Amino acid sequence: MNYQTIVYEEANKIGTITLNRPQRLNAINDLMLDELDDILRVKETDTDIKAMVIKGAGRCFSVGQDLGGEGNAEVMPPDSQAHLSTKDLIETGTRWNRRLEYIFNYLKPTIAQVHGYCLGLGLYISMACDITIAGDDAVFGDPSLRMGLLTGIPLWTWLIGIKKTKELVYLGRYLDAKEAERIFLINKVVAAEKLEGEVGKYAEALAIPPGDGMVVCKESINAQMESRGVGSAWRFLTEMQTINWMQLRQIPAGEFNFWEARSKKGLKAAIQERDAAVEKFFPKPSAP
Amino acid sequence: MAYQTIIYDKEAPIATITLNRPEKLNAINDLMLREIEAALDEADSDDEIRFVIIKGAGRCFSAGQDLSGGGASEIMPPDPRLKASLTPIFKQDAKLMERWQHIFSHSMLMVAQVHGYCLGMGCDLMMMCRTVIASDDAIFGDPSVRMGYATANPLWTWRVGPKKAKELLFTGRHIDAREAYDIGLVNLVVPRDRLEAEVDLAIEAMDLGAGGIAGADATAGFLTFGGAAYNLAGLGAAWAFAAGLHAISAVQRRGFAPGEFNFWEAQDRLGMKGAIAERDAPYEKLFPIHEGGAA
Amino acid sequence: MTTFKETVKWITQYQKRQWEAMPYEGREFSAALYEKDGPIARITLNRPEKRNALNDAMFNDLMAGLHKANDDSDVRVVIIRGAGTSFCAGHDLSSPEGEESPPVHPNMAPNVRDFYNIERRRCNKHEDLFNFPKPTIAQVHGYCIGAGGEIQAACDITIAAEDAQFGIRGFGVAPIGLYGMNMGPWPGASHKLGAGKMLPEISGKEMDMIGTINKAVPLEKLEEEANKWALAIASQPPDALAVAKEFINGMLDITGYGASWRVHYEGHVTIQWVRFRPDEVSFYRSKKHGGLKGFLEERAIHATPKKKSDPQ
Repeated sequence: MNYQTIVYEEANKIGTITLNRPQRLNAINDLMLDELDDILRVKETDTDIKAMVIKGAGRCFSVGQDLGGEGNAEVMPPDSQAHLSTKDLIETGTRWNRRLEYIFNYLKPTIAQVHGYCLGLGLYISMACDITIAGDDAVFGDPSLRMGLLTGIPLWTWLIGIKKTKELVYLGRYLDAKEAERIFLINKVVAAEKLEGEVGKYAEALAIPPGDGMVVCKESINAQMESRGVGSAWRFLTEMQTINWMQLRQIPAGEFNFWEARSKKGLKAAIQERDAAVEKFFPKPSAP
Repeated sequence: MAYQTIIYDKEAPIATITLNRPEKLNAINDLMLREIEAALDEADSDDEIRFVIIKGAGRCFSAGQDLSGGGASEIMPPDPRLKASLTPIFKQDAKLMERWQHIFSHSMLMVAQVHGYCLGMGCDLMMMCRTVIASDDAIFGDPSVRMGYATANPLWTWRVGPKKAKELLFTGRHIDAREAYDIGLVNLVVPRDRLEAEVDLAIEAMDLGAGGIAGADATAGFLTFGGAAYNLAGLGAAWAFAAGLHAISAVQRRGFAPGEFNFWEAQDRLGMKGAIAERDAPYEKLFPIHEGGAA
Repeated sequence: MTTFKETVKWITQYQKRQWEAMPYEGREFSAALYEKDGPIARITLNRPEKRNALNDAMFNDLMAGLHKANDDSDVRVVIIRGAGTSFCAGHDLSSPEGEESPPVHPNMAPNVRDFYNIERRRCNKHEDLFNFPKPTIAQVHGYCIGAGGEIQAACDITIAAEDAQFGIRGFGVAPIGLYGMNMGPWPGASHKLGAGKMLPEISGKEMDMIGTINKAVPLEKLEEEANKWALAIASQPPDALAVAKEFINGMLDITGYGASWRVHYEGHVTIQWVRFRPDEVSFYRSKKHGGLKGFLEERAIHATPKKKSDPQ
């Protein structure tokens, strides 16, 4: 398989997907979405592979959606000035959420191996994975609201409860691995140099039981979350995203407009401006 | 009522159910589960009883389902090699679910007093209690997946959240009392020699606390509607899913891939203890089993 | 063209949210105070001599304050806090019969229909606060008990003093309603805190560690910390905040919040028909003999174990 934005390897019944755009901090663009979809689909029915690890090349897991402006029409919200029909907006939201729901329901156990930044869509992937193990250099966050965007995943409250969900979503605040572990956003944090070994240990354990038994275990827990409304939550997110994307058509004067800032000052400056207001109060944990 | 596998004691307002098969590490078989149910019904119909303590005799709380091969045809699915048809397996799980839900919905405050090993169905029983007090030597875990099973107990997810539930149930690894406390599985951890006393204190505090504004009647009301709230928030459906999926995992129709561990085949070869050792061996170097539980 | 404000007049009494139904024009706020500070509206519960116990007057001022904050387009976030030594000690148990705040005395013997009416109004205040369209912050110090706990649970964010006390002996931290849903990693587990009323009192510091409030700080830093969070939230795009809140609250409804509120009603209904055992502390009997103070003392004594606990 020749992928451009990811690398896939297999060993000892474990598949490892490496997000591979290290020069862009593994920012996820449309091609990476496609390639991720593809490898997951191809490997799902391969019974020789009993667990899937997802990690990032270079300095981090992933900074999330590629905000750059090229090759990211699908991964970014629909162009607000294109005034898509409501139907198109709903369909876009549905596609976004089914992508993550697919990872959530993947027919093998999944481990997110996180070092460095794990933001936005990167964080959603981690949340959708069964188990997340992080190095102590990991930094998590979802800055969507700072750009006027609704968060892109509904699983928050099932993992960390209401108060923490509102805090992290409203503020777009970043948190370090220790805090993420304490609030149950992730399973475990280890010293950065021990991360690979720890994930390897868990992956090896996941590969031992019969694959059918394992998938039924996963199905049971996911079904329990479903009983608590997760299915509706995926759907409800689509509805709210539609409203949110319509809001973007008319960003009030005086309010931060990410797209305008990007076209005037470039991506880096736009991101800085996006983060400045909240970071005054909640500084980022030191950069990994 | 005379019980064979448990001891039922009463000192109003507390009834104590002691799992009493210490030579078998209080492994739970059909008779024991029936007797636990009956004892709870007995406590429930006694107006003087407001609290129930569940604990284990001997070295531990309970090592879980009795895997030794006899007297467990209600609580254990049949040997998959027999290729039983689906209907009786689903029926068995539906009946078991009703029994567990019955245990869960008693209108007394139930306290689990846990020392040593608390594994598999031992954890299921522990989770039926709203309050769990453990000694620092307690060890928890559920090895179902190592035998290809999904547990029929949905409360793992409800107690420790989905990520921790998956971590523990996908690996079957053991956790000690401190970790169990940190993830919300137990309410309180105390030194071994203080366990009984702390359970007494907790019940005294609850008894007095329950006196509060409106007494035991209100507590019963809160338990009833609290239970309803759990169900309205999906626990009823979650339980049915867990039971049905346990049945599916028990069927194991496609058999085992070469090299995959088959407990029943190992049991024929090595006996129960040997089979358990072989089951756990590949995990031992990954997750060394703690000292502190029953040796 | 009909403006939004014009259509509002068609809304019946039952469609109005509790705070919407409470007028603020020309109102003299006294049992709760209202002040505006840039983008922040501060509502201060103001019966410090009663530890801000809730009576009808305070509820009404609180609701009116929320109404005013909602109508003021400058206001981006609301802080609710308490005057004096506490946030809020719960419903005022010394309120005269006929007020909605204390438990309805069984002697009043309302039929179930009337009782539900009272309960809905009472409990809907919390639900309407939960769904208030702008972000809310509870700034908690001192006692935060009973209905006070429900108020903080209904706010989006809670910042507390480390030594704030949630819950009280003899009443505990009841695992129902929003309070219960807020606990543990799995919303609704109410496991660590509420199960069997194991821990009658929890400090702000412990609530922070468990993750059921957002942050605990030393008391002297509380005001500054709450302000910080308010200003940070106020710097975010308000429409996006509105959508995010609607989304998160909506999801919680899906997971059974509605059911959780109903549990609250049914619990109160149950209280109407309890009979006290001889060894229990009866609120009504105790109050009759010793007044409210006597009841609280008797309850606290009874709720304190004789021996000392020694957990790790």
